[in-house]
Amino acid sequence: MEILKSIEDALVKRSLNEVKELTQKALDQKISPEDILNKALIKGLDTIGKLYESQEIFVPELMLAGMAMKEALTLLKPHLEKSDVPPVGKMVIGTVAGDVHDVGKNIVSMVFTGSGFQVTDLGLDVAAERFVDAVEKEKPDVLALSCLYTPTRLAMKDVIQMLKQKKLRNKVKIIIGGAPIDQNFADLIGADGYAPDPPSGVKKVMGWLGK
Amino acid sequence: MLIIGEKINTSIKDVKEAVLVRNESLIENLAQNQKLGGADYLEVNSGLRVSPEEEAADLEWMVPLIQRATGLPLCIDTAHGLVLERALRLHHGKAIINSISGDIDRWKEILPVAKQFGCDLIALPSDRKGIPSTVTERIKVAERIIEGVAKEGIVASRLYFDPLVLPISSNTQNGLLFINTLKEIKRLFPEVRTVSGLSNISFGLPKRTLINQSFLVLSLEAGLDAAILNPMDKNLMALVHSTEAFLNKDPFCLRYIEAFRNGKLG
Repeated sequence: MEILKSIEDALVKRSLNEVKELTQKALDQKISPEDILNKALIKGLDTIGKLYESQEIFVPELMLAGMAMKEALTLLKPHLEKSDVPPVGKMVIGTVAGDVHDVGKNIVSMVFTGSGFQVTDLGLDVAAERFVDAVEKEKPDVLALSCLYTPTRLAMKDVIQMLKQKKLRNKVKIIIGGAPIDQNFADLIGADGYAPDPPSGVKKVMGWLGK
Repeated sequence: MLIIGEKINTSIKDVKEAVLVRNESLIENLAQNQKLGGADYLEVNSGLRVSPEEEAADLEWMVPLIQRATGLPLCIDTAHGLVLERALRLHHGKAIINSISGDIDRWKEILPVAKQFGCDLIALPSDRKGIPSTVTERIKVAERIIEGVAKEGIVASRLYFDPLVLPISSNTQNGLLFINTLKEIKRLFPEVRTVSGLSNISFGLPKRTLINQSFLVLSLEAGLDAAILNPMDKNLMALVHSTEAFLNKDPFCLRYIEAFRNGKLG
């Protein structure tokens, strides 16, 4: 369908208004919201991720694409709810205790929301107990932990240990990220994985969820 | 401007390896080359450990090593009072501590050590609620810090305030927010000095050095007293010299001319 390709292209061009208008037009034409999501938007976002990885686009453009995606999802949401389509996945995200940096975390949150995830953002300086409570109540597929400040990365370990104590560790996948984080550290504290940037995080999580 | 060399930081891969295997010559070279580039202070950090004990041992190895190689005073980057105290016992001259913030709970172990060893302190106007998004809120935190450290017997002239720089890629207001906070700090608290790292501003953008250079020039004009940067970056250091000459901070342009003679202007 031509309009799906146009939506995909508009998203790849980060053209916010065009994505909105075309998504509405597609809905008016009675195209199924699942098709708009999977065959246009998710495909477009996948291309965006690749462009970011190859450094053809940069952070502000990644954020614009995330914003366009969010707008399109707002239009789709009432229709998707009617047809009982679940979100791609559920994520709880936050910056760990002692750390008040949320720039990176907010970008990750936006890109996951844009990818069709239902994201609960706990904010910054989030105590381990709050993460554990959220895992218990929200039952997310993925818990995403962020930090920028090196000494606070140990708070990630506290979260994982508390999840183990509450026998919740195997109920949720854990992805971590931030300037002082690497794969070694993820292995050391027993996280499921690490991602260096938002698009590769989406890719990794999608892999875990078999999508 | 006071130049604090940023390169001895374990978030840099070579440095991390060198600290892990105690490779003296790599650290010595890095220290000497930064001094050669024009560093007044050298930052030292070991963020690769899980326990403060191990972090302290890393610094006890690095502090005398760097000072023997350069004679420069150090800017010690740690969150733990214990690490700080053990590093300072071996340190000669007046160190700078990086850093304290408006989060008073975190001062408790840092301030007594700062006082005991007579250090200067870098202070960040952020608190447990985050990094304030307006000049006014940042100034409020700065006021609280000045009052708080005064109660502990540390005068404001020992503080270097970092106005806090966030990437312009995430919000294009962040550049002006930095400059305006810097000017307001200088206006309200003329006795404190100001400091900033240079590279945060350009995160997420191509050709980061260009953004960093614009940032350096405008910050100097707005009154920045010290910068944490890479002194081995010749272009950047040349820009420090030329901008200072332009801003009447270099009488008779002598430092600028001297830098030219020493081949430091590229």
